[in-house]
Amino acid sequence: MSIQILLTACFGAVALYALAQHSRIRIIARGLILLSLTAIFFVWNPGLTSLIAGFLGIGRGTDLVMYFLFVLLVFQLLVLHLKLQNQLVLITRLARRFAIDSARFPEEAAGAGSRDEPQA
Amino acid sequence: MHLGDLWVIMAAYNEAEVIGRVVAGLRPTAAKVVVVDDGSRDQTARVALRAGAIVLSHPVNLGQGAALATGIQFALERGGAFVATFDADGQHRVEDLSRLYALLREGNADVVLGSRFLGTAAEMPAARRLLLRAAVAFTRLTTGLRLTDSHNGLRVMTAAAAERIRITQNGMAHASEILEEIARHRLRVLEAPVTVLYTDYSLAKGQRSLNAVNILLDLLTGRLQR
Repeated sequence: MSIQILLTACFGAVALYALAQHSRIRIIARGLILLSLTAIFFVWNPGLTSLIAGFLGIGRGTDLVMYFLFVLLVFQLLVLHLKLQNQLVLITRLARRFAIDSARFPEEAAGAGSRDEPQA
Repeated sequence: MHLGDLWVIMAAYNEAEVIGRVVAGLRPTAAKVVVVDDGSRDQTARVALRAGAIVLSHPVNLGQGAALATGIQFALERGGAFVATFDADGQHRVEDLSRLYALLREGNADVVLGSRFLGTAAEMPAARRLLLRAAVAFTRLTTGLRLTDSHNGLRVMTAAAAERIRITQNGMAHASEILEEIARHRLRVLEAPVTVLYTDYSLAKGQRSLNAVNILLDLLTGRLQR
């Protein structure tokens, strides 16, 4: 019983957080709320997962949840990877613009005599 | 021969030891020498500037592909008519660059690539030779281009070709990417023999053969993105 209360509190917190973020990232927030509420529902009706699992040809409800989590995890990893790649593209673009706009020419160096440029 | 409208792009990461000599060697021949200092922690930028190169500095280290792309974009923005890529570690010879450029100016190609296997690679290690042969086979498989050397850093191209070749691979996979772009845009490509000088310095600085695995991974995930 106590684990059910603990899980409900956790999922409830996630749902509340998603609700608070709702105005900013609508789709993700809605998905998260739906997921949390579904999770809470199954926490209090564990027999139901086994029933659904049975329909899908999986022995236990626990296994069903595990498979589901695994797929979700792989999907998340993929999304994260693409996000990181996009970040790298942005950083590259930024660094490139900066490098081009602050190009240093040898004439300037010669004109400035022996003045040393600042070192990073 | 003076290459009046050729912009030579070099990507340099911690090459202070040799970059001055390489730039000085190019200066009498090439009109514009652009060194892209890829976040070096040594004096690369200062040495290159003193030797007479235009220096662009990445604030952080991004990789050779990113650095070359930066230099090429700079040359194009400044109205360069011809663009070359040249290794910063002293592997390439200026006379080879001149020959590639002359070949390009004949007008039968959009891109001229240097090839170690048409020329002579002074003291190429056997393992390196084997790996490069594999890369050639890989290139033929993925792009259909029949080249003898798919990963040579010495290339000369027209501005029009350079504009179409999009380099998105920041790391070493850019060499394969350039070939894929050449194939995709159906650019006319020629190979010309060049001599690559494998010095102790260039071998120490150069890539480890095992990095080929990383390059393959980069190419695969890069494709996932498009």
